Amino acid sequence: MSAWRRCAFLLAFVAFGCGVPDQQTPTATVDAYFRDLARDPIRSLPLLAPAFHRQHGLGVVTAAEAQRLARGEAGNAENAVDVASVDRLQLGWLAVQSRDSFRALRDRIRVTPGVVTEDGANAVIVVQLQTDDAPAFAQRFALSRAALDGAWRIESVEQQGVVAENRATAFVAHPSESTRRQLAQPMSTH
Amino acid sequence: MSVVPDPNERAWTLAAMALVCAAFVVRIHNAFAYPPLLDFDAAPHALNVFAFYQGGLPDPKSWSGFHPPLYFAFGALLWRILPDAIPVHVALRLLSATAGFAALWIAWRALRRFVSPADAAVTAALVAGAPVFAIATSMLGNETTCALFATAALARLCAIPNERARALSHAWPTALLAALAALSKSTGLGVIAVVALAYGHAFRRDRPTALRVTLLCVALPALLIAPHYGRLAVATGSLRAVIGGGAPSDAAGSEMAAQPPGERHLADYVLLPSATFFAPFVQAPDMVRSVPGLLYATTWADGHGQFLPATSRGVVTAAALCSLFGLVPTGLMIAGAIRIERRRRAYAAAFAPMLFAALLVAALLVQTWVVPRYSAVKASYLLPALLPFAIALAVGVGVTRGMLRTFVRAFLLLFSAFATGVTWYGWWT
Repeated sequence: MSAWRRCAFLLAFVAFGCGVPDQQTPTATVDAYFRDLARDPIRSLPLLAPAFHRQHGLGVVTAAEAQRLARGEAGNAENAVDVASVDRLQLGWLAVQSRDSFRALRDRIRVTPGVVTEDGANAVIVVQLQTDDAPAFAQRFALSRAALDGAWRIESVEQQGVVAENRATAFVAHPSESTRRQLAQPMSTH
Repeated sequence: MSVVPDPNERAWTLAAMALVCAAFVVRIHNAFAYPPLLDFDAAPHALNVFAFYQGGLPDPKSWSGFHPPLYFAFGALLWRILPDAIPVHVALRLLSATAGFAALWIAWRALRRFVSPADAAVTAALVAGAPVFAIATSMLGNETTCALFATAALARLCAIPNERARALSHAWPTALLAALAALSKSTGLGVIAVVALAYGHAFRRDRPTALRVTLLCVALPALLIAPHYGRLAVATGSLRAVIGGGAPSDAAGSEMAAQPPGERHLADYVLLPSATFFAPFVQAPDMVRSVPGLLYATTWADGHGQFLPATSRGVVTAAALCSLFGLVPTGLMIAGAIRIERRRRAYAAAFAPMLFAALLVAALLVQTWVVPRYSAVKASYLLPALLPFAIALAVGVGVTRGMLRTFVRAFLLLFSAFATGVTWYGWWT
């Protein structure tokens, strides 16, 4: 076998044989989620199921939808985001993590592992999240194991104990359109 | 070819090489220091890489799904093989930087055909520090990959052999490189056209050879790019998808649709506001309309403020200095282009690269008219023409003599060092 062919085989082996996903256990998936959040956002993509993206609802809109928004027809554009394809929601998920303030707050969050419940191809993990200047809250991850590759992916997230003081932290821990809208409202309405 | 005996030639070359190395080190720093996904179109590029990482292809109807696959496939490969300690966006930026500097190295070697080694080195150093190159090689994206293969193909066009017997053996690697450029970014389609024209022109006195070599230069790339571009056309039902994706692909619209100026006038192509030199950012008065102003500001500064924060007074001052200093290489480039035009026979080898540069500039101007948004006016779109611009600059440097040449070389190296420092991400904090 020529040196060229040996190199090609080696490269192919490294490329396709050695890639070990992070999602071997539910706990590893959640650990990777917090490790990658705002630090390595692209690497977080394989951790997330399409249902996760539909739940957070952060997405980009098309030019036509943006023009409708500009004309004050907000309802149409929002509906468009609601039914957006997953790639538009993934774009929203990635884009929100590029903001300076998002990264700064992410660095202040302390994650305390909590309960892990695993039942066959489904699991639930609850963690406690806190920053120095806001009350703690709980974040519950629902995960499922894909039959195809055996990787655990996050299907949905629920938060408990979120109040006005820790809402920004809650948004960073799980960016979502609903929390974004709550944050956008004046404080007096909370 | 001007080769002037000069006892200091080696010193100039070494100084230039040191600057190029320093610029590369700065790009490595930037790859880690620049915040994740602030790069131009970072999120859609990331989704393309993710599609390959999963073993699939990007959805041709998604925002950036129309881009050719090469950069993203390489990116997915890096994601697989590099350790988790290196964030994916950093790996993608390092890939971009490596491709950019490889293109620069090829251009550097090609320049020696036209000017002295020292002038070639000084030109390469200036390119390495020029903000348009510095920012493109600090960001993830497929522009520098396209520039690499385009530069490699165009450099071969500077050395087309005269012998008929070597026509095909010389042409097929060039055609392959042109195809790789087109598989990196659709701008590479223009490289294929120029490659075919150049070989046909070179052998025009031998019509059968000219026909064979032209056919090869069209057929080989067509065969290689057909799966990607054919898939796009079939999936979207439109040839326009080759450069802009399908109907739903303008999901960038949330920001893009609202971008000024919104409509173009002929005056936009002659308007050159003073801010081009004193506050070279799109936020400055009249900059958003000015096509030459923004093209200039995105060449010698960061006209869009995507990398350098226009909110910092120190950054605006530094960018303004870069913009002012850029007048010298711009003048030299114009002088070099005029000399090449006037001495066509002496610079015949530069014909094909210069033709490509002219085509690319014309295409960019058409795009600025069709897409009347400021983000469509970006000098990095011209990076595949790195070689012809470098040739013009190097010839412009070569025109100078005596003390003026010494001054010009010193100025270009100092400017390169200054610009490299200005594009060290985070110096303002």
